[in-house]
Amino acid sequence: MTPKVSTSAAKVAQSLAGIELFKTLPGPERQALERRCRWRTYAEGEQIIDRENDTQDVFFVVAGLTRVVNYSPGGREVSFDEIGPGGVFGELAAIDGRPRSAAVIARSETLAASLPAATFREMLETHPPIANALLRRLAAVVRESTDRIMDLSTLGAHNRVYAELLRQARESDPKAFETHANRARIHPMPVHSNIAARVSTARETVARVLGDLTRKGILEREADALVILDVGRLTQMVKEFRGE
Amino acid sequence: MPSTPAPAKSASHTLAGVDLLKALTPGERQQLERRCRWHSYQEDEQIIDRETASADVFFVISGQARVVNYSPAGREVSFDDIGPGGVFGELAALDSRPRSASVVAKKPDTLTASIPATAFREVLHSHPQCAMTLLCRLAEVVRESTDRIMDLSTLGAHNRIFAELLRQARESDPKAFDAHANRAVIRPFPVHADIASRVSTARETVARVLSDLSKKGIVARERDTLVILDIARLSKMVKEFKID
Repeated sequence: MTPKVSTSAAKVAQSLAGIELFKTLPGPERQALERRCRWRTYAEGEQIIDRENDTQDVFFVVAGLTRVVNYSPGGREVSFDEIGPGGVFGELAAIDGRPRSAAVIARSETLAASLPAATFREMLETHPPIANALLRRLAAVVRESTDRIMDLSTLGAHNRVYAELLRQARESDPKAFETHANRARIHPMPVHSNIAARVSTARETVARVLGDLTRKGILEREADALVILDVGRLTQMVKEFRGE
Repeated sequence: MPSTPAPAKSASHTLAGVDLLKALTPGERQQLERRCRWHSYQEDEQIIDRETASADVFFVISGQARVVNYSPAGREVSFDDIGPGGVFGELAALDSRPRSASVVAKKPDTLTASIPATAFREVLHSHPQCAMTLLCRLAEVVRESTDRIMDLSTLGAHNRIFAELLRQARESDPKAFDAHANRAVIRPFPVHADIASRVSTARETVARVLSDLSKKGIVARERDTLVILDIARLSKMVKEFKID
C-alpha cells in the first residue's frame, strides 16, 4: 500500500472556487455566497440527503466523493451518479420544490457546502451563465438516463456489465480510447457491488461475468486495477448474446 | 367550427401557447415567430432523426410528437409524448452534442415551429424566467427517468405494466385520484404497442396481462376506454410478484 497523501476533507478550505457551476462568478460575489453557505463534513457512509426528509437545500462537493442512490421496497440498491469535487447535487428539489428524487451518501469523508433553495434560485435568475451551466448539467443527466433506460430495455444483465466496464475504462483511462488502443485500465479496481448497483443486477452475476471474462483473456486483474486486454472484443460482446 | 372565413395560414403560426416562452412580451414573441421555420408533419413522419447533425429546437403548436429510440435489433423504446405548447430537441441546442433520440409525429397535421440553437440560447440568456421554466422541465424529465430506471431495475415486466396503467389512469383521470376513488378511466383505450414500448416489454405480454386483469375483474373495456375497477388492488400488485 502506498501511503495516503490526500488531505482530510475536514482540513480543506471552505471555498466555492472549485465549483463548476460558479466558474463564471466574480471573486467578491463568490465570497459573499460562501458566507451564505452552510459547511459540513460528512463521514464515509454518512447520509447527506434522505429521500424522506423535506429539505430543499442544494449541495456543492468541495472535497470527497458522494453517491446518488435509491432503494427498492425490497432493499435493492440502484445507484445513479457519483459526484466528486466541484460537483452539485440536490438541485432538482431546489429548482422545482418537489420532494427529493433520491438519497445521497458520502462515499468518502466529504466536505459539502449547502445553500437554501431560495438563495440558489435567486442566483440562477440573476446570473444567466450559472443557469446555463446548470441546464447543461441536467442535459448530461438526461442523456445518461436515456442511455441507461435503453440498456435496461434492450440488453441482458451480462451485456450491461460489459458496457459498464467499458464506461468505467473510458472514464478512468481516456487516453487509451483517444488513441484507439485495445488495452485500457480501470483504476482503482472496481467493486463488484458497485457495478451491480450501476447496471441493476446481482453482485454474484458481476462476479461470475468478471470470472468468465478473465478466463477468456479479455480481462486481467492487477494489484489495484482491472485491465481490459481486448477493448475491441468486449465492445462487440455488448451487442451479442442478449441474455434477457 | 367558427363561421368566420378560414384563417390565413399564418394565423395558426403563433408561439402564444408555448409554455417555455410565456415570459416573452408579445413584441418579443412576434419577433421570434418571424425567425421560426413552420412545418406540418403527417402521422408517423420523422421530425428529428437521431443521426442528423441539426441542433434546432422545436415547439409543438398542434398535434403530438413522440420521443423514441430504437435498439440495434429494432426494438422501440419510447420516452415521452409532447403535446401542444411543449418543446423538444432542447438537449442538442444546450450542449451541441448529437441528438439523444428520434422524434416522430404521432398525430396527423402535427405543426411545429423550430428555431436555430443560437436563437434559443439567446432567449434563455436574456429571459431568466424562460431558463427557469426549462430547468423545471429538465428536472421533471430527470425525475421521470429516475422512476423508470428504478422500475426497470427492480420490477418484473408484469409489474411494470400494472404501474404504467396506474400512471396513465392518473394522467387521464386525475379527479379519481384526488378523490381517492377506487375506479378510474383511461381515455382513449391505450394501444398495446404503446404500453409495451413505454415499459420495455413485448406487445404480446401487454395483451396477456390486460386479459388476465380483466378476467380477475380489475380492469374492464368500455367502448373507447379502459376502466380500472380496483385501483387499490392494482397498486398493491405493482409491488407483488417480482418476476425479473
